Amino acid sequence: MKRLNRIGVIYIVIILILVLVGLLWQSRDYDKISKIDYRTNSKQIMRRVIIDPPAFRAEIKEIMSKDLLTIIRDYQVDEHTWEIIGQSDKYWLLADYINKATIVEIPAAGPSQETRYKEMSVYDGYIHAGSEAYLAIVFFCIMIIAVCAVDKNSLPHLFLKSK
Amino acid sequence: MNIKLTQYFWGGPNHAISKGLSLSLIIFAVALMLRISFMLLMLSGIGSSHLVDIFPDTAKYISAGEYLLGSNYQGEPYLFLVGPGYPLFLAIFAMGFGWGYWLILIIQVILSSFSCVIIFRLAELLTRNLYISTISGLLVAVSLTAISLASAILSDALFLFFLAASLYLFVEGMTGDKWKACLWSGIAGGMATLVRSISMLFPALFILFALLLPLSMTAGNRKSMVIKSLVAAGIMIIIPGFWGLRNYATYGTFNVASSGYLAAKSYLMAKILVEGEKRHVSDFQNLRDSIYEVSMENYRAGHYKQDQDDNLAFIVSTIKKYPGVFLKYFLSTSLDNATAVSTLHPLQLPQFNRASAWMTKYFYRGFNNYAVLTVSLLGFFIYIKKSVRIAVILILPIIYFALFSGLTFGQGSRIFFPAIITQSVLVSVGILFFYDLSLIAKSSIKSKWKSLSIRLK
Repeated sequence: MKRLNRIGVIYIVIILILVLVGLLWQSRDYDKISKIDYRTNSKQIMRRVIIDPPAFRAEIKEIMSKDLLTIIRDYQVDEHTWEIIGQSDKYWLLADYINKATIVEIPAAGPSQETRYKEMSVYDGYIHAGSEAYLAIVFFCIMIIAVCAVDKNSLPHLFLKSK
Repeated sequence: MNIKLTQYFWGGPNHAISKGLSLSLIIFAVALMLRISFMLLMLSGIGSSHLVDIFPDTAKYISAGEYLLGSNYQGEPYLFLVGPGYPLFLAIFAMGFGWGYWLILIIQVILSSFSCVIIFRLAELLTRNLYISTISGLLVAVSLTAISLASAILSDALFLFFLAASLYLFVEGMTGDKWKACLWSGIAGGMATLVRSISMLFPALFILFALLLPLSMTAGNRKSMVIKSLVAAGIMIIIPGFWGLRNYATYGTFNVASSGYLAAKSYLMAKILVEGEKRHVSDFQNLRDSIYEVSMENYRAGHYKQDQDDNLAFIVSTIKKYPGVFLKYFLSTSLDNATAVSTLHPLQLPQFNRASAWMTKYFYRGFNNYAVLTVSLLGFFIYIKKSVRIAVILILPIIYFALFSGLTFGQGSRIFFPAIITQSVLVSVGILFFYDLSLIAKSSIKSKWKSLSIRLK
């Protein structure tokens, strides 16, 4: 009984540590994708001349949602740059990819900057979500405790001769 | 189940030989059936005339084979690149039967099925556990990568056959104190290296295995085991060494195959340079292709030695300049290859791509799946409880192929595929552990339920 209690406590501690690691890993993934520079680590996927930038940004968001991406962040970086971050599943644990669309407004050329027309470029960058590696580590940690806890004599097919 | 049949397959110690033979036949039959079915489905879908178009490497092997037959002098650079083993295999069949690829596929299917039996026998020798060995053999028999590669005009099925045979004969030679087995092990290993030069450092593993194998499993003493391992390792080095000498005499460079060098130079170094020099990520493809083309042009111009020397200097200087980036990509490429899923079958069975979309969605997360690697690592720690030495012997080939794969690029499951020889054993240990654990849980629940019912009564 004492042994079972000890194993139970170890399991709870390990699970708490793994949950914390998961939260840190998720935050690291989101941090990593937001640091991606569209100039070096993204591909230009669209370039349009438009009148209504907010409507254009909403259109990009809709396209991302249609591509089965769950939008997790949508923010303005500076006066001419917006970023939309989406992941391939609602939950980070089940996501394969985290994508970032960077919308860049190219300032109008010419004597006057006040013009109806804006040239917008969209860049797409992505990273693999670390969720699968994390889940593998969680599974491994949980099972390794079972490996240490179980007496090898109670594993008949593994440690007793079958011949 | 019929009792007589059960006794025939699972009888007492007197039936040990027939049991092993029966299981070998079952594993061979399952493997053969799956591989032939796959091959027939593939041929019905893409046609035999397009067999050579599926994978880019096929054309290189055929060119090299034609060069060996003296019919295509443009195949010379490819022979230098891929080595003589597989092109010779193709050329032998071409000499006898013309370039009829269907016969080559049938032979590969048979060899691949034999590999499953060899792995079953190897697992039996190492673990002395029929459950582990049977599951290992069956895992290789149903492995989608193994099935796909058996039906591909690529060197992998032939390489696996030779390497598995080499390892099995080596362990047989050690455990049974048989000199003949060790000699044949060296010959099979040498043939494997001629097919794919990735096994050129395997002789070092043989010597390690001789030091690790428990004396309780072997008929001889440690000294005789080490001597036998040195002989096997020596033969495994000498056989491809002849080809290296041939290249030295012809081109001035001692080399069995230069595909490894070229892959490291064009893929890994290009990746490192793009990140190290902070170039745009789209530059990688251009850089990789230009590095590759420069080497191929050098080969066509006959500058083999110069290119080899340049390869080495380029690799060393790039690693020295960006050691951190090298380590990052080396480890991530190793992990990528070790967790890669089979990506060959969509090309070979395009008619089933829509039907297999569910598999792609639920099992293949991107191009990687960590399940097999996790279970094999778990299997390693489980088997340590029985024998640390055998556990280490089983994991060493996995580490070997994982580390080598880090020097190239993500190639799907193909590059890490040879590790299946011992990885299948560790995975089967993991599977058996889950099964025994479920039995423990079941009996524990049963006894608790019984005591609860008694208390309630």
